[in-house]
Amino acid sequence: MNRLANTCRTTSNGWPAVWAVAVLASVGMLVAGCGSPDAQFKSNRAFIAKSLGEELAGEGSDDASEARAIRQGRIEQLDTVNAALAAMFGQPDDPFVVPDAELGVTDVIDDALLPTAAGAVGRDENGYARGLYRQHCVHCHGVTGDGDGPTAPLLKRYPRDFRMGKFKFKRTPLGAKPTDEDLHKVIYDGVAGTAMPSFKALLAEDEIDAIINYVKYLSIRGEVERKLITELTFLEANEEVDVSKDMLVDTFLADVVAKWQQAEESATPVPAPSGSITDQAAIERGKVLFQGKTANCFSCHGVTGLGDGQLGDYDDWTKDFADWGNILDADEKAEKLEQYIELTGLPPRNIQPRNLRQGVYRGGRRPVDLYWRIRNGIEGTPMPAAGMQQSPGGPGLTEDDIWDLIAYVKHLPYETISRPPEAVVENLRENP
Amino acid sequence: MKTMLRRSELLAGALLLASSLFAAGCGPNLPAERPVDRELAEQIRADISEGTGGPAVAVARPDPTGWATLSGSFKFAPGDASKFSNPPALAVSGDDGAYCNRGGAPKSQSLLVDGEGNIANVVIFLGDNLSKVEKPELWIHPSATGSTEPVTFDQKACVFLSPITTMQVSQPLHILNSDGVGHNTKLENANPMSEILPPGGKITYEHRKEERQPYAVSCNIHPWMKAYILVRNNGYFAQTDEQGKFKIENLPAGVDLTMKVWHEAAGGFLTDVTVNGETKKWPKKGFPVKLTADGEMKLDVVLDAGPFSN
Ligand code: HEC
Ligand code: HEC
Repeated sequence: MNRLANTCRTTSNGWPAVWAVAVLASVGMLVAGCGSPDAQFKSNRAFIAKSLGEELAGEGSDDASEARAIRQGRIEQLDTVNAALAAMFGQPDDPFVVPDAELGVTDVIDDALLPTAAGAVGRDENGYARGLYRQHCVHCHGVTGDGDGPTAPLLKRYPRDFRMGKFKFKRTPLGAKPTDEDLHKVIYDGVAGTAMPSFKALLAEDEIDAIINYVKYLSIRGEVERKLITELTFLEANEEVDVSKDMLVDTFLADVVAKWQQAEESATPVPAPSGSITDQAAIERGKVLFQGKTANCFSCHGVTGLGDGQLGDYDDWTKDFADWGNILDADEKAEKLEQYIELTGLPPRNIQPRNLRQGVYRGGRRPVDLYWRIRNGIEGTPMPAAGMQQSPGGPGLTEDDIWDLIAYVKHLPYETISRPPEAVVENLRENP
Repeated sequence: MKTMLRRSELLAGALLLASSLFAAGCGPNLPAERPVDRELAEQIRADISEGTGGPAVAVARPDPTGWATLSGSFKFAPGDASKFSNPPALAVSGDDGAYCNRGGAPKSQSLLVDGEGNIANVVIFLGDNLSKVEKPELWIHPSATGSTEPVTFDQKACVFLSPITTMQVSQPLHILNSDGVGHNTKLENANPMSEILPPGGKITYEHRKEERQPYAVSCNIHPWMKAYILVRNNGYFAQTDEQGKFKIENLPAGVDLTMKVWHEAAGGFLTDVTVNGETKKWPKKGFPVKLTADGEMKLDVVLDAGPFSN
């Protein structure tokens, strides 16, 4: 399955868009085949390589036989990690949730809803849909939710890798999980300007609920996997991995689940603006703020809002393996790059601050959406939270300043130096 | 910028093609994906579902016998010292470039070594979890807990002024911007933050819990800016000064302790060392020490330069 997906995607990578689409179609057919009977979750190879790569490459010691023993020890530990994950979460066709109501696991993941989203595509005896995730999401987000489905390398913005537990478009601050409503919005409306489509015409409400449930399941599984792998870095290669309930459930799983449970209560409240955000005065004030050093929007988005201020950064998913922009040694960078591409098939790409003159908002165009984006920042990306005043009159912004910024941002596409809105071609990679 | 981006994508594409010829989706160094050990998985599932195991039984530890000091120094062997004497310039990008490059491009601060090979900013700390000991008053000296002294973390000329900061959870962190341009300060810890900080601005930040190792601080407006913060429940930590020296006082004596040593430029914890003339491999968990009450243990450590790069 791995090989198939990789080969398919490799052939198509870098081809002109027209070809890409054709190849895409054939990839889709192949994947339906590979995804089926005994689908297995993939392990987080990039994270493993980053955490234990040297030892797994047999470079854990100067002494060759010791190095081999270390490598073997790590492989066995990783087998244990995989078994622990299978114990806690099952496999794509046979998902499992630790039935621990006390910790709230069953509160966050409803195992009754799992079959609707998990497993092979089809219908149950009552005619209800099954395997919706594989039907609608897998070719972008991957069976494991690693954002590495066969279509992924063709996209300019890669599909979300759920395993880091970070989400962009939510009402909660950095570090908090999205609420169900946030995930619902992303799936229902899609993410404008990216390949993430709207499913409003394709999925019934209860089906979306089942898919939200499954996204959480994949994300929690992915975060627990990262914790287990991290744990290995504190162990010698010949030590035993602790797979007690105390560790797996009461520590790792509980930790991640608690955050999902707190999502609702960590939502950022939205105060009403004290005036109208279409008011010319508000727009003017917003412009001064946008271009000034207190709000600092211009330093990334550019003074004109074209998104051309800071183009050298990467998002957190890309930086998880290496801090690409800051590897100063050219050989080291080339080596890392080669490794990363072999592991993920996704060449690292810079993230660009949004061109605000296009008037396309990925997290939604309602003022309240923009409020959350600007007030809280966009998790996983360079976009930071606004710096609010810590004491009245001190340096920083007020709530009204945020609304003025929204007024200006909403007005930017219509400002005179604005170019005609460009066609949104974010979905496919630029041709080289 | 644009052309560079394209070029790197092309390169990446070429690499991808090349790699596919021999790789079945596995990195050059990683073993291929292995099938799940079903028997083991079933056994683990039975254990976690039935609630066996329970809370780990606290291992009875003897009581400390008093307080003691751990001190010493970190350096490179004479031949290695010069390798890192010339820190490279950082990769400055973006609209603030002209401002940040005034007076020369900012230099990497990740590895500061003096002419004799002494290494600054090595972090050494007590790795043991003291939250569950029976008599905390015997383990944690009053001078090593509950500090509320604010810690200042500042930035100027587009660099963080302190590459590494060590502090207790109970101490407030005062994040300042003494620069002429705005920054955003991103803390990648259990209670993450990324917030815009205007010139002259100040954020008071509270940690919620300790971290097992230093976490990264960065700025997205100036992505080359990088620093680390270690935050612990107690004050048993130190960082080496410019002469590579450190000292931790009032550690519990007469008991087995685990010390951890970390350096940014080595990418994490250090294991290959020569301590007081003896070559050692410290365990990943940290190395053991047992101190004598009212005594001072000195560790003069020469580090293997292998894992370091600046
Ligand atoms: C054609 C490719 C594609 C398909 C199909 C697709 N997605 Fe996405 N998805 C994306 C991309 C690309 C992004 C990243 C958008 C961004 O980063 O701005 C994304 C992002 C997401 C996010 C993260 C939103 C956030 O706030 O961070 C979620 C959740 C998600 N998709 C769920 C789904 C689900 C569920 C399905 C199936 C019902 C699905 N996607 C189908 C491409 C796809
Ligand atoms: C450190 C760089 C940086 C700064 C400073 C910054 N932004 Fe952003 N901004 C970004 C990036 C990067 C994105 C794209 C994130 C993504 O992938 O969705 C973005 C996206 C946005 C969006 C698009 C939201 C959407 O739903 O599509 C808006 C609106 C926005 N920023 C407004 C602002 C405002 C207003 C300020 C000043 C208060 C600001 N930004 C400061 C980097 C920055």
